[in-house]
Amino acid sequence: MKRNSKIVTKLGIALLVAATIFVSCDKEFIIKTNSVANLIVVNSLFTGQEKLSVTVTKNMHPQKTQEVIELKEAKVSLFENNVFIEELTYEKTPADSIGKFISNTTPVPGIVYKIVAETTEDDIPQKASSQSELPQKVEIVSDTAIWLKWITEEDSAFSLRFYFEIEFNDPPGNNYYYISAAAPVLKLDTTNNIREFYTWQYAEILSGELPGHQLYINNSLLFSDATFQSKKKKITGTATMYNNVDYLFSNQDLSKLEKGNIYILDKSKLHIELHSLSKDAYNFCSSYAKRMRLQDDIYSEPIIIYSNVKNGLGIFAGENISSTDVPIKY
Amino acid sequence: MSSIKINSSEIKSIPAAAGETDLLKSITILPGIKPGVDGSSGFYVRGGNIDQNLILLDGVPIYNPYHMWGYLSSFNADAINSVTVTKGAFPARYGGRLSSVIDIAMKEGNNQKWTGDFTVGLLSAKASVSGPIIKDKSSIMFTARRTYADLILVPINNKNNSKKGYSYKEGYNFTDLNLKTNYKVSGTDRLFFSGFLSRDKYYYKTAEDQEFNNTAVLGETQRAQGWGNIIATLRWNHIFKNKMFVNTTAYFSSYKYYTTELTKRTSSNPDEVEEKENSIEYLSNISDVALKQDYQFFPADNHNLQFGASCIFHKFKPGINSFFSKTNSETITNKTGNSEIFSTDISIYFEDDWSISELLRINGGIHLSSFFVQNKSYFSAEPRINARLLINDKTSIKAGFAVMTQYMHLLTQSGITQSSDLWVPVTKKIKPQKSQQFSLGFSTALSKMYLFEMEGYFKHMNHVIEYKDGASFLLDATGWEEKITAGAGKAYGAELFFRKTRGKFTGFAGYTLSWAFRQFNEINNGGIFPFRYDRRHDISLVGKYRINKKWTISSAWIFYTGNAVTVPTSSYITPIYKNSGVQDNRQFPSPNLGYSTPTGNGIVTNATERNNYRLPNYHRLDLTATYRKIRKWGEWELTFGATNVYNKMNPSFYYSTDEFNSETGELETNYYQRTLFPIMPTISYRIKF
Repeated sequence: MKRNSKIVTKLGIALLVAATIFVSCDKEFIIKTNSVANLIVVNSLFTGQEKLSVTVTKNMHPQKTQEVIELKEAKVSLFENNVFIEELTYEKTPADSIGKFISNTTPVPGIVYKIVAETTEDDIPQKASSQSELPQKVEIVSDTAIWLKWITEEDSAFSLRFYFEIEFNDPPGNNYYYISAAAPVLKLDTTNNIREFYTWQYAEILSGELPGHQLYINNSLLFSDATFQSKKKKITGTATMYNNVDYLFSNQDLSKLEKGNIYILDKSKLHIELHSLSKDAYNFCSSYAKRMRLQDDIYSEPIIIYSNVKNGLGIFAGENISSTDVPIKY
Repeated sequence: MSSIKINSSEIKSIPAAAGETDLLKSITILPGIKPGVDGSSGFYVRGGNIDQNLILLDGVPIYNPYHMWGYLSSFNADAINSVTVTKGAFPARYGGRLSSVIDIAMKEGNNQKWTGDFTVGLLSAKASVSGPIIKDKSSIMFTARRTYADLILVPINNKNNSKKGYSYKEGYNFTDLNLKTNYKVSGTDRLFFSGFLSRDKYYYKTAEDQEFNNTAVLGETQRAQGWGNIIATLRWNHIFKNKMFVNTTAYFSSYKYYTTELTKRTSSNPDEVEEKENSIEYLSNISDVALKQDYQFFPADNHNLQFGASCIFHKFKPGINSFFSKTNSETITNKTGNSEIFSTDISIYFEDDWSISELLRINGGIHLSSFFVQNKSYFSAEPRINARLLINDKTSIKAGFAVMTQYMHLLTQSGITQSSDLWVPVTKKIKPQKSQQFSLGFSTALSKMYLFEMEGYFKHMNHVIEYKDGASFLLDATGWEEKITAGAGKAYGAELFFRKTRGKFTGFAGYTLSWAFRQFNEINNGGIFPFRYDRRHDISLVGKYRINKKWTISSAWIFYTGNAVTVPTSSYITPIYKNSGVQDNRQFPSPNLGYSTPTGNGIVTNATERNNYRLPNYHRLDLTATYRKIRKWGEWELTFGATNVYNKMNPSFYYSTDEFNSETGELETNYYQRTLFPIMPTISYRIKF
């Protein structure tokens, strides 16, 4: 009996110790290297405005920090309607962090462009290919932009808000678009009293007219013509952009400012671009936009960024851009 | 093997988690039935979804039979007489789900004498009593179960976390009740009433003395989450003279889920406090009222006819968000989500179990159903046939074919199945799920003690639903119909089941080799992908050894292939980068003012396809030993042991976090897997009289 009692006591202690282990445990989770896709990555969102070019890189382990591995020695061939046209040449300018394979072809609508990237590296599939078309350019037929108001944010940054309106004729069939609004950013060199164009600052666009969830890539709006097929379509919205040096006026004497470079928003015009996207480009941009929107939402379903590269990764797709510079009415 | 019947004692012999004998956890170790990950509710049968299982408690469907976010089922094993699991070759009397029917029969009350059964385990205490109300005429059976950990641990925890000017309360509890009574009206008529109630509640409350502008303010935070089922059934059993009887049943079944969060500030000087109250509430529920009649008729010795009809009225409230905000200047009340949906489900069936000869027996029939919702009606005719051919007195071959239709869906995330998952009906846009399943099996009795069964199956499913890529349960205010997409599924495999039914040692070994896939136009770029519970191998070894009259030991070893999950296995540059494409020249010189590229450096991590990665294989061993002592007044039992004896770190899910690496000076994405259930002791004490 005494012996049984001792056993029960020991058993009780053992259970108590085991009970303390009853907590959830976390353990680092390393993705098996043999599960990582060793693939060629081919990327190009080609337009009708410039020569077709692609980047050819290598897929990397998602958990390892590393430099992008370029496949500079790859053989990259361009085909039009399945007929070989040319082999692209690798170029890298000092401004490029990644080199591009550049063609002598400026894409035009109605032709199927196919790219084939081949490599002699042993550890990845030796050939990847993709094809796409350049969509028809959709002209903007009318536009307006009006300054609405200054906005003071809580963090004391200033913003400007514009109302804008553009109109275009949607061609027959399924079409996909991307609209962006930007204002020029000027670089003011107060030392040498020079004003020059520096870059575009793109505005956040809000449009209440498009149904469903609106998708954005860096504040520019993605949409399809599902609800207005083959009709004249007016897109109205507001564009908001930040302004860092709001007190600076165009006629201000720069020599009185602190010496150095100042960047200032040119508030005289709004540059609006209407990108007509191929379906592949739209699928890619919308999957990317969804990923950006929901990357911090633990309840969201996974989003796989669209790729149309056979035997590889990346996107090879066309987009045709119409643009207009609209004077802002104050 | 398409159908397996398990009685109460078999359920109790399987080692139980935390000493809690669990019906639904027990059936998941049968071949062809797969549990979800640890910590999630539900099970998956032959490649089907969790919502494709019809769980009937005395013939009444129950929608979420789980406690503790899925850790335990809400069925008290003491209230259960038997359970029949049907995975294929469905008889025509069943309808409404594609993959399985779990038909649970509750115990009847003892109409001769009063008996009782009391058990105290690590998590809960339960009691059941059964006895005659009027001897030989009427009896009652009542069971109750409640967690008691909150009664002991919560006050200690709350006291430890509270301090002067700050009070803290956090707790969780569950309760379930079963009641069954019967009354013998006459020699041919009996009335039955049964009730079931389950309830889970989590709460968190803090109150803190604060000060604003020299004014004392009481700041309160309250969070609560809860869910529960209520079932009430009245059944009239009437026996006709000509070998026929009928059951007429009326029932009510309801499932509710809620989660709320409230922050409140109260002050002796109300003008000093601007924000007074904020609350957010999420509600979801489904309730059914139904009437059905089932006839059984034996026109000849070799025919058993069953036919009947049912009419179910459903009311769905699929996910309503309410928001309330009160400040000094305004009060905002907002309600988003879907309004109530009413639907009617009418079905009739005819089934004949026909012994054509001594060797050949066929069960054939048809189930016809109509579903009316939002001024639209759906109709379905579902033929069923199941044949058994005896090769000799020990061996038989079985074949079955069943068409099934399902008018309800459960919206579940691809991660963990939760109590917040929404039950929704088919609508004008969302069509009913359909399946066709073929099965072919072989069964042989190797001796009086050993039985071996083998069955293969092929199942094709249409209009199964999933959330679209990127659909979000919380942040996305879109209605649920916009978040989902319909597609197809297929599953095939083979199940082997070897049982030893007699002797000191009893048990079984099960093995399943299976494949399960899904295809949706709007997911995975339209490509076919493995179902998340596509588990190639699934093994279970269950044994019980009776050492002597006092000691019994039980063990269960489970192994299955790791789940398919979506994990980034690629990392590459995208054109949305300053070198090419859409976002050319977007980077503004000052990071504080302009826009950086979305990923910071133009690199995305991406999965090559949905469910592209396998988590590590899952396996664990559970052991229990039971000491039983018989006394004059009854008996008592002490059961102790452990689940996951060798402490295998089985992953429940994985997650990623961005962490700063001080060595490289860069932000890295690190992945972790979480194990919810390492080794866990189990102990329970039971008294029975």
